[in-house]
Amino acid sequence: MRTVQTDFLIVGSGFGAAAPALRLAEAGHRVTLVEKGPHIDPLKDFRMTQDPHYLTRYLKCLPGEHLGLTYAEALGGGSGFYEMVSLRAPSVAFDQVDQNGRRLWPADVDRTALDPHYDAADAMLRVEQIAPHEVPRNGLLFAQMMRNLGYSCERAPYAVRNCMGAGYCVTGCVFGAKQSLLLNYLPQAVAAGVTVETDLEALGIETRCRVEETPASGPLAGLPYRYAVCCRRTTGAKDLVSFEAKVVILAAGTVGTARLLLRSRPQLPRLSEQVGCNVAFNGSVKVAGIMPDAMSEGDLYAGRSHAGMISYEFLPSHGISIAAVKPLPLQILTSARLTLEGQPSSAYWGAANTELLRRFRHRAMVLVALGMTPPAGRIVADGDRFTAGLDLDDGLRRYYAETREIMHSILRRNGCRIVDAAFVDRNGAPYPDVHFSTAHQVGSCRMATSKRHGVVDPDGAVFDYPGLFISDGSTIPTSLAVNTAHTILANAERIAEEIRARCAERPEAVVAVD
Amino acid sequence: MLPTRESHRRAPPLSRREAVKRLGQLSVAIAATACTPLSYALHLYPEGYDRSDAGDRIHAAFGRTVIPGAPPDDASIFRALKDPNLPFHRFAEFFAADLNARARRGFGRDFERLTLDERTATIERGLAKGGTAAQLYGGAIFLTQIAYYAGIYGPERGCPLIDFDGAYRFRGLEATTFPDPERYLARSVSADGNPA
Repeated sequence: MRTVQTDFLIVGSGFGAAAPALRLAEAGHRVTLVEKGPHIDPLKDFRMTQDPHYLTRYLKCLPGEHLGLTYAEALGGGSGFYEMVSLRAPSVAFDQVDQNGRRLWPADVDRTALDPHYDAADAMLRVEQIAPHEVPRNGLLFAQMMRNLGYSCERAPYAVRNCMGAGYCVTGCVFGAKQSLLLNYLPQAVAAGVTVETDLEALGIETRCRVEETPASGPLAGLPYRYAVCCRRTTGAKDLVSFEAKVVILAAGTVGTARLLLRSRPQLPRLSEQVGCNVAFNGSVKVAGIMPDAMSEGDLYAGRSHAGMISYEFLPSHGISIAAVKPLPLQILTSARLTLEGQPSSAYWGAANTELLRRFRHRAMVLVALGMTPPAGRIVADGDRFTAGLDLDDGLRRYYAETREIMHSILRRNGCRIVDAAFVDRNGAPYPDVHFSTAHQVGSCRMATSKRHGVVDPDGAVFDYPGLFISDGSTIPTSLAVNTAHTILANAERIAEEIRARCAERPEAVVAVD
Repeated sequence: MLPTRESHRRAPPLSRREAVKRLGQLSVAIAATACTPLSYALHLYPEGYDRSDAGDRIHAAFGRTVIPGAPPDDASIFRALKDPNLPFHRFAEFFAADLNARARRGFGRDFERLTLDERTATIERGLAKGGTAAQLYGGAIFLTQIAYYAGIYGPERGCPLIDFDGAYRFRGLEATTFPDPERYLARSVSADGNPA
């Protein structure tokens, strides 16, 4: 087994990893980054396709009875495949409390604290609010519906330059318009000296010394290599590589980081019991309707996969944002049993279904609500397998029903005919009960002020393991009611700053000279 | 620039096991093992099952029933059922034989020779059977719809039947936007699109 020594080892390469990699390399540190997924050159490897073999090479799912989590495994993590929506979390998201009234976010981490880091992320990803003339048709039609009802609606900010409206955002932008991490943070990190190794899966972490006796902060020079991370090549001979690092930063995502720590628990016995718990899933609820003939024609199967408009009208009252979305890649649409309201449920295939999908092209409006649902999910280890768990209580059922009703009401009051969508499981059978599916999962190793409530402190330091940090979405303690990517990146910038400060070389002692 | 590895640019051929895992993960196909308890395969195998049977014609007739209006000579309508990279292919011949057996029992003719209504009724009977049969029939419908509507086997072409264009060909932003956006926009409560 090959052994590599480095000062900083970062596990993962997505929104939680890229900022620490760049900032620590800029500070002159020796940084190695390992990524389980394959290397990606956005101009060569991305494809405009619906091919499941292509999609499932990069996009993975952690299934569960009531909760399904989608995530990416590739260089750049989800940034290559997300919809470029770069929203800041609303201030109210940071005020969420648990059932005992305890604030879920640490007191000094809120929107105000994150805003400078959002600014940094905005600059790196060249985030701009979409111009009115670039808003896709379905986004404008959604805005029109909200206007008809006296509601507000916003043009969303995106990380994109010179978008051509190809519509294949989620399969990876072949035009290099999407400002994924592959175009900014990661190449800059490499230029600053970061070593990037792809196709390496971190299998486990162990300590190489009595880490509890090593300092939590201070210069690296005198520190031993405290942690060993065993990795396995995912291609070829699947050889093993051991990385010995003075500081390890986990940024494999809400699923990947929890999975790695759950596997490593025997070697890291002082880890918080909260690892894998408290997964917040952003309460994603989707509805669809057929627009009346009086409205202009939409563009459901073309243009940006996010329709450009989002409304915060129901954020204060119901804790949700509502946006128009497009079912691209189209498999997302065709993997639900769709019937027009009033049709028999068996009409999900055959002539009625074909006609419905044909009408969808120009006349369908699909809405998604993201909400501040409680962090009630978990990542469950069952031997080598992992699943997503969620205890569906009355509160979640009520949230689901009320949120659907709000969106149905918006559609109905605009003359739309509702489309019933029964989402199906891996067997092609409809879920028998409420099921949340999301790519906005956060919180499996949440930050808190004590080990009793979380896995890391507000600076991302793992409790009781000096030199072990987490900087990805798993530290985010609550749902955000908006897309999570930008907050994960801003929080990673914040944590990177803290790590950098903790590991700064102490200034030379000043010797007084007469 | 980031380091590149030529070998990473093309996906290696998938093993069947890997294909099952991946497709299950994305809810793209049915989980093969859930469909065929051994007892079903052993005890309920359709009489007269013949591996040399004209399975393609039965699959094609099935596809044209699930998606009426598809061109009759479009083989992509049933390609997913026999795609060796997808888990259903293991059951494709069995499924064809089962369809044919139900058609003969119900209407006295081969499935492919039935009218659209008769074929529809035959499939509905399979679905109504419940249990494993319903999973098998439901899975075949699911897979056929996904593969055909999404144009899995023709990314450039998409699916003309539902006006899905497939891969992008430059048409300019005007093809997906309106020339007078202000006519549609609602009042805004934010300065930059972000929530307060």
